[in-house]
This record gives sequence, C-alpha cells and structure tokens, in this order.
Amino acid sequence: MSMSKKVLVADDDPAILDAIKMTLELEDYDVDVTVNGETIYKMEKVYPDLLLLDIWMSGQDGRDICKYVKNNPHTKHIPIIMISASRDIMQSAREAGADDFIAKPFEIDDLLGIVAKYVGKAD
Amino acid sequence: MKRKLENNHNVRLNDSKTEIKNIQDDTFQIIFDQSPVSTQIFSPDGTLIKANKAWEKLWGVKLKNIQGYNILKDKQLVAKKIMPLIKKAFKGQTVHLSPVRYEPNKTIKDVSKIEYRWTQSIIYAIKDTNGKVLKVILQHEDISDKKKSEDDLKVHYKVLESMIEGVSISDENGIIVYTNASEDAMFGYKRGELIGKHVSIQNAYALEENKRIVNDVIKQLNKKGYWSGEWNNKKKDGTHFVTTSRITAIEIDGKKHWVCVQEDITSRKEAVEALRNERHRIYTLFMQAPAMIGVIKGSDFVFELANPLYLKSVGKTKDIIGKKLLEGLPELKGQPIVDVLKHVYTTGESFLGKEVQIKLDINGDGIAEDVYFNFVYQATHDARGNIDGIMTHAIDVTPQVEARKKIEETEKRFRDLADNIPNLTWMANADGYIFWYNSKWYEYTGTTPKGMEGWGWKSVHHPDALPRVLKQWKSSIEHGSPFNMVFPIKGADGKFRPFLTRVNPIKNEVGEVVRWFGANTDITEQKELEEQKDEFLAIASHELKTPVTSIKAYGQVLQRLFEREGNTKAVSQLSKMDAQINKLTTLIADLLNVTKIHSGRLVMQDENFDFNELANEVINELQLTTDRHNLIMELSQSTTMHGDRERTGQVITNLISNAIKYSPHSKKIIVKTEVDKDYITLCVQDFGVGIPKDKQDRVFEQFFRVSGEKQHTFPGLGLGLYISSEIIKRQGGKIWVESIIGKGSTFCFKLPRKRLKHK
Repeated sequence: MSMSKKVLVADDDPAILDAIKMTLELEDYDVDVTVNGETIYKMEKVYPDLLLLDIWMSGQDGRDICKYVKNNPHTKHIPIIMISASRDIMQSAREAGADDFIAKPFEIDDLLGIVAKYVGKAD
Repeated sequence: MKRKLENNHNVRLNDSKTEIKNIQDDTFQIIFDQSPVSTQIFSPDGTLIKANKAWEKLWGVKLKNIQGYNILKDKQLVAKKIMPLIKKAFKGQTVHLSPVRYEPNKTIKDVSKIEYRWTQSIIYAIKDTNGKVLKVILQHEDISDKKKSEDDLKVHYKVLESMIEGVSISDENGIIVYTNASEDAMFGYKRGELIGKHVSIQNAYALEENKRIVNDVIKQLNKKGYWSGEWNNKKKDGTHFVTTSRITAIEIDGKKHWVCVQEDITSRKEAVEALRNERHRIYTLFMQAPAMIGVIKGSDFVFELANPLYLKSVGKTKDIIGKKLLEGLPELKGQPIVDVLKHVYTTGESFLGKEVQIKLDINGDGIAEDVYFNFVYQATHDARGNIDGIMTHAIDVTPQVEARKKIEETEKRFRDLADNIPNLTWMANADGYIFWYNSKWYEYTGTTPKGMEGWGWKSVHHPDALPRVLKQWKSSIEHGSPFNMVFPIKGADGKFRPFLTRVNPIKNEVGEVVRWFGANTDITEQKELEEQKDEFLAIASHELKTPVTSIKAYGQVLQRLFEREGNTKAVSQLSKMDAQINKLTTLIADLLNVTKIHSGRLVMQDENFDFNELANEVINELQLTTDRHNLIMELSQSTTMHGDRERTGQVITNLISNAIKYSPHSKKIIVKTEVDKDYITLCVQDFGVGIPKDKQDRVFEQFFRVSGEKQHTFPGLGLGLYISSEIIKRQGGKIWVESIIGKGSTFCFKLPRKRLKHK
C-alpha cells in the first residue's frame, strides 16, 4: 500500500468535517480536519496534497486563508477547493486563488470526483 | 244763353223786315229802352248814336257822359284783338263775339265803380234794300257771374285733385260719380275707373256687415250731418286697408250725394301696433326677466315697481308696492345695505354688489335668513335730471354661494386630512403640472410652494434616479396610467430617504384624466425591516444548509456502505431519504434565492454550454422522481448558448417539477425546445388541472399560489415560478404560460443565445 493522498479539511462545523472525513475515507484518503483556520497558517514542513476550505470559518474568511496559502512559496502548489453554502461566492473564491469550488450540500460522488480530479485516486 | 240771344235777334230781324213800318217810332223807342239786353246803335262811321238803359246799367255809365264815342277808335278793342270782327260788322256781316273781359275804359269819363265785365256779344248791321249799311247794332250779354262761378269750380276741382286724402262722390244709389286722383291711387284703380261703379266695390265688409254699417252711417249723417270713423277698405287687387273717413251729404242738381273723404292710416295703424307690441314686449321682459328688477322712488324709498322674481326672491307679494322700503322689508332695518341705498340716492353713483349677504325673511316666518345677491343699484332721474329713485337689478346667487361654501368646506376638510396624514401628498393637472402639496411635503423637504410648483420637485430628487422617474412619470401622463415607483427624496436635512410613490389618475365621466393624486410614503423603516428579514433568511438558510450537508453526506456514505454489503433494502430507503433531503435543499435554496433577488444579489455565472444537454440531464434526473409520468423529449438539434447553466437548469427543473405536481392523473409531460439564430425556447406541457385565465399572469408573482377547487391542495411555498421568472428575466429572456382549466398548462421561456453583458 503506497502512501495515501493527504487531504486537509477546514470547516468550522464539526459535523461537516466528520461527514467529509467519512466520505473521503470511503476512497481511502488520508484525511485531517480542523475547525480552526489558524492550523493552516501554522502549517510547516508537512503539507497536505489537497486543501478543502470552507469560506466561513467563524471569524476567518476562507478566501484570506486561500490567498495566504497561494502566496506562500512553500504552500502555493497545494490545490485548494473551496466549499460554501453559497455558490455565488464561486467567482470571488477563484479570484482569491482557489482551484475549484463545491457547493453545500453536495452529492458525495461530486465531492469524490472533484478531489480525484486534483490528487488522483487515493492510492 | 247764346241760343236765346240769337232767337231774340231773329225775332227782331223779322220785326225790322216785315213789321217795322207799322210800328210807331215811340213804340220802338220803348221797346229799345226797356229791353233787358244791353244794346248800342252805331252810325256806319262807328259813332255811338244810341244806347239803352240796360247798356247803361251794364257798364255803369250814362250815355250823355260818353258823347262822341267811336267804337272803331276804341284802343281796348284793338288790344283785345276783336277790332277786325267789329269792322266786319260795319261792312254788313253779323258777328258773334266770344266772351270777352272788358276792363274799365279809361277813355270813358265817369267810369263806375265796377272793375271788369265779362260779356258775350253780337254785332250786326241794319241795311237798306240795296245792302247799304244804315246802322250797326251791338248787343251785350253780361256773363260775369257765370264766368265767376265757373272759375270757382275750376279752383275747387284743382283743390280736390291735389288733395292727399281720397275723395269720392256717390249718388243716392251708391253709384260713384267722382273720384279724385288720390282716391284712385289709394284703391289701385286707373284714373276715373271707379266712376259708374257701386261704392261697395271699395268696401272690405261682408254684405250683412256692410248693410249694418251703411245704416249706422246714414243714422249718424241724419243726426249730425256727417259721419266719421275708421273704414275697412278693399283695393282693386283685393288687399285690405284701413282709412279714417268722413262722409257728408251734399245736394247736386237737387239730388242727394255722398262725399267721402278718406285718409289711408295703414302705416299709422302699423306704427301704433308696433308701439303697442314694443310696450308689451318690454313689460313682458320686465315681468319675466330672469333677474330681479325693482324701482324705489323718493328719499324714503317707496316701492314703485317690482317684478315677480323680485317679489319671490325677497319673499313678499305685490302688496309692498306703494310701501316704503323699511315697511315692505322691515328686516332690512339696521343692515348695511340701507346705507348703501342712501349713498346711491345722495351721490348718484351706481353700486355694484357681488355676492352681498342680506338677511331676508323669505319664508315669511319672521326669521331672517342669509341670502346672497349680485346686484346693481342705479339712480333714476326725473325730467330735470334730479335723482328721484333707485333701480335695482339683482340676481339671487344664494344656491351658488352655498354650493361654493360647501365645496370650500369640503376642500378644507380634505386639506386638513391631507396635512395630517404621514404621507407626502400632492395634486397635479392632467399635464403633470403640480399645483398643490400637503404641508408634510414642505415639512419633509424643507421647500416652499413657490419653488415646488409645476416641475420644481425635481430639485429634491437624486440626480441618478431622476431620469428614470421622469421617464416613467411622463409615460404615465401620456397613457393616463397609474404610476408606482420607489425612489429617494431629499429631506430638509439633506439626506435622501426611499419613498414609495403611487400616483393615480382622477378621471372625469368620459374617462379623461382631469388631475393626478400622488402620495409619497417614506419606506425607510420598511426597507430596513425588509433588509433585516432578507438578512435573517440568508443566515437561516445558510445555517440550515450546514446540517443538511452533513445529513446528506452521512446518508450517502451509509448508502455506499450498504451497497458494498449488498443490502438493497437499506440502499433503497437511504436513496429515498436522499431525495427528501434534496427537496429540503431546494426549499432552503428558494428562500435564499428570494432574499438574493430582493437584495439584487442574484448573480449570474455565465458560461458556454449545450442547452439540449442540460435539458436532457434535468429530464433524466426528474424522470427518476416519478413513476407515473412519461417525460417526452422533443428537443431540437443540439445547440450551444451563453448563460448561467445551473440557474437555467433550475428553471427547467422547476417547470417540469410543477408539471409533475399539477398533473397527478395524466401520464405524459412534453418537453419541447425550439432554436433559431438568436433564441432558444423551451416549453413544458402538462395535461393537468390548469390555471384559471385571470390567475395566469399572477403565477409568476412572489408567494402567489393558485387557489381553486383543487389547486390549493398542492404543496409549495409559492416561490418557484417567481424565482424562475427572475432568473429568466435576469438573462434577458421572457417567461409565460398558456393554460386551459382542466386541460393542462404549457409553461415556456425564451432565452437569448448570446446575452448582452449584464450591466
């Protein structure tokens, strides 16, 4: 078994994180979750293969985090998929440097599809 | 007379020829002297030898006084050109001389007092058997009296003929014997044509009446010697006319005749009649005048005249005529109008009263009521030009004044109301010229009526919004249609606040706009509340989505796990749960969409896509949700368009979902697309309950749900079609419905294939 693809999910709602984690684990991704945007700012040396980022992060704007990641030479290679309940934000998410966008609520097939698109199958 | 004279002469000739010798000289002398015929005897040389007494009497001279008179030397006879005739007699001829007028002969001494004489004469010679003239006899007949009466007759005749009055003379049998020129002309006859006709030809009376009148005339004539009066006459051409006539009786040749003198008084009669008519007309005018007319005379104002309207208007009868003003109208005592009358009477200045209030007891119940008059008081003058009274010419304007007062009262009530409501209200003429604002307008805007009149309101509008407002307001004015718009109006503090403005046309009975009534309502609070509501809904739907997202994901993960286990029953149940979660998602999304539409945040994510592919996708997905319906696709050739794929798909979903929902008993739903160069049209046809005609336009309104026998039993928030129509409109398209109740509905939308960039 090769190294599983590592996906970091950031959302302020634990139930969402749990549901996404369960979904991605169906396909054997290595899933880390965080309810706090600060986790991403503090990332060092070990980086995920993909970042799933909620736009509203209880006090933090996902787009700011997105910009930070994409402006950091160490992290800018990490694909970012933004998640939001409002698809109207899709445009501004792209402007912030996000690679893709998925709206809540989603079909798990869609989520798995979009993740696979950027990191390939988990193994 | 002439003949008589000749006869005498013949007798005398016989005498002289046959019996002269037998008659003694003195007998002859007696005959000569006493003959009534003036006779002179001349010797053949012209010398007067003898003249008889009749001659002396005729000429008033004595023979002895003219001794030696020679007729052949009489110059007067030469002047009268009768000398040649005289000379003929001296040569032996018998000569009759025409009547000659002889002046008193100056050559004759002792000429009598007579002035002149008319004579008719014969002069002849007495000859011997040889024809030698022995003597010449001259005999005169005095015809002066006859001549005089003949002249008089000529004068009378001339007078008669020149009279303007018509004169006719008829005999006792009524046969006309004479008419003068005026009479003939008056009756239209030719000169003399009436003579010989019966007088009745000139009468306009019927036979019986004629008899009675003639009897009356005769009776009068016998009594007074004349008759005079008006007479109805008939002209030759049959027309009638009236004369004043005077009939007298005269005797001509011993027979009674009637002389009738008459004057045509037709024109005079007509003038009198016209005058009488004029008087009557003026009287009628006075009596029936639509204005009150009254005259008071003297310094104590005695009623001399008052027409019926005057009496009626002051509530009195004609008994007041002859009474003093304050006796006839005692209620006037102390009222200012009495002083006005006194002023007019003393100064002669006319007084013009407009809507003057006077208290009059018009009902006779002793209570003086307010009556209003427009009137003129005008002084009247006597023959010497002194003021002798006042004429009143008045119109009772009480009903008008009262009506106007009522209108003024109503208007005041309206203005009080308008000034006390919280809205800014105003009125404009049909052409949009604003002539009135309520006080709240001035209070809010801090403006003055002068600055606002007409189109002055533009100054309190936001320059960005003004063109849109003007355009719509002008369109409303042009079409007479109500105006509804929200726009900001600047307050006295310089801040703009949103106002909902509604303007309604006020139309007359023929449907023309006579004015506009506008009301601006400050909706700042309403807007704030709406914003709060939208914000709440946005947050709520966002918050709802979070658990739905995790539930959906858990369900699907679970479904995947059961699939792996091969537990088909659990998979089926989880699939149904997922479908319900999708419904919930849609409902939440709709609420969010509405708030976005309201706040203008419904953003279109345009991209190029294949329209038919989208339609296919949606149809296939929805076919899974229904076992009963067969979704029939009638899609045109594949075509690409530029627009919001997902939102467009949402509309197609909505239309097909509705078709499924509202046709529970039919089996097919037809989805058809049509494409042309610029547009794509999609129609969804169902065979369900249909929509009543009057509700068809309203189905696209927010929260509108068709009510009816069955329609209301269908679930829904009433947002789907509203959102669909907004999505279509935002993309520059059009959405509509055709429906027959009980037969089904066809919902269509038409989208431009290439959208102009959204501003």
